[in-house]
Amino acid sequence: MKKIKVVGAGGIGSWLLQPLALYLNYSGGDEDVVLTVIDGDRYEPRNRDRQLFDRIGNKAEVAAERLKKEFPEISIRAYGEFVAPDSIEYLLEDGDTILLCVDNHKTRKLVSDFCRDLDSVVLISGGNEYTDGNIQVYVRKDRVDMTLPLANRFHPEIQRPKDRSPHEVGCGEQVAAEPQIIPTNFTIAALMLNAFWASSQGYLTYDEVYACIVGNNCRAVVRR
Amino acid sequence: MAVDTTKPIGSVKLVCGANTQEAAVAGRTVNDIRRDFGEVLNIPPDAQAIISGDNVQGVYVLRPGDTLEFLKPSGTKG
Repeated sequence: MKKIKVVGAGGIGSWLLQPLALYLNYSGGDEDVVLTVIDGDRYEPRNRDRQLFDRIGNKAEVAAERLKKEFPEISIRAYGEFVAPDSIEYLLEDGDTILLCVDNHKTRKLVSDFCRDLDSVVLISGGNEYTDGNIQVYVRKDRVDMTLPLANRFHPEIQRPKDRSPHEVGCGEQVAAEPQIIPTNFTIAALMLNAFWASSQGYLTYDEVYACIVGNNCRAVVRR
Repeated sequence: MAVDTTKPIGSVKLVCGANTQEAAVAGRTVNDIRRDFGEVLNIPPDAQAIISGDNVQGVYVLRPGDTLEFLKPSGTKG
């Protein structure tokens, strides 16, 4: 059984889910596919300028509900909660392919460190600023790292994150949102989908890919 | 030995994030590049410089054939 988990269904995740589910639904094969959407956040009216959703509500539940109607060939599940130290062990597991679309480095480090203790996992993480961003791909097979984990010496911002994860932000505490635009979110979602396809076909050769929408250019990087 | 005539003499590859540029800057320092190419390559002010995977200081003098990368942090938002 293929277990694919999308963590975060916001600016990047909401654009990734649609083509990912379409691909999984029609790509065939005998193996059962379970696509799980994980997010503790809610779609709000202010998200309409750059996120894909059809009603207000928990992001994981709303996204899964919409995808289930369109793609009946795959099993789609939702967990309406954040990945946190006390939930990661039942949300993520050995053999998963994880598409990490979160908005903080603290969660990236948490998930990366957790995956280092698994036997086999594919972890594809995407993040962006206003006009640029990157994806990182961590492939671990039979307890051997094939690519670098997200928290590595080239990314001290993830090794020693200074931000907070959503579960650390108290109720009623508003975190100021940095402006983002659809082209950057969409570009990173596309790179994540490319990496998902390449890893599933055994073609993956890089540790990360940088993208910039101003120059419309991308660069894949091998760090090992 | 074949000579690569497509690159300027003293050519160094400069990299930051998705941006790359070949430039005849051998003999100049990492600090020079950070100052002169900061805007065109969109180099973050505190970006660590590396050559062949190893950290280099601002006073490092570039050699022909070097690839100098300024490490771009991963995107934060999603």
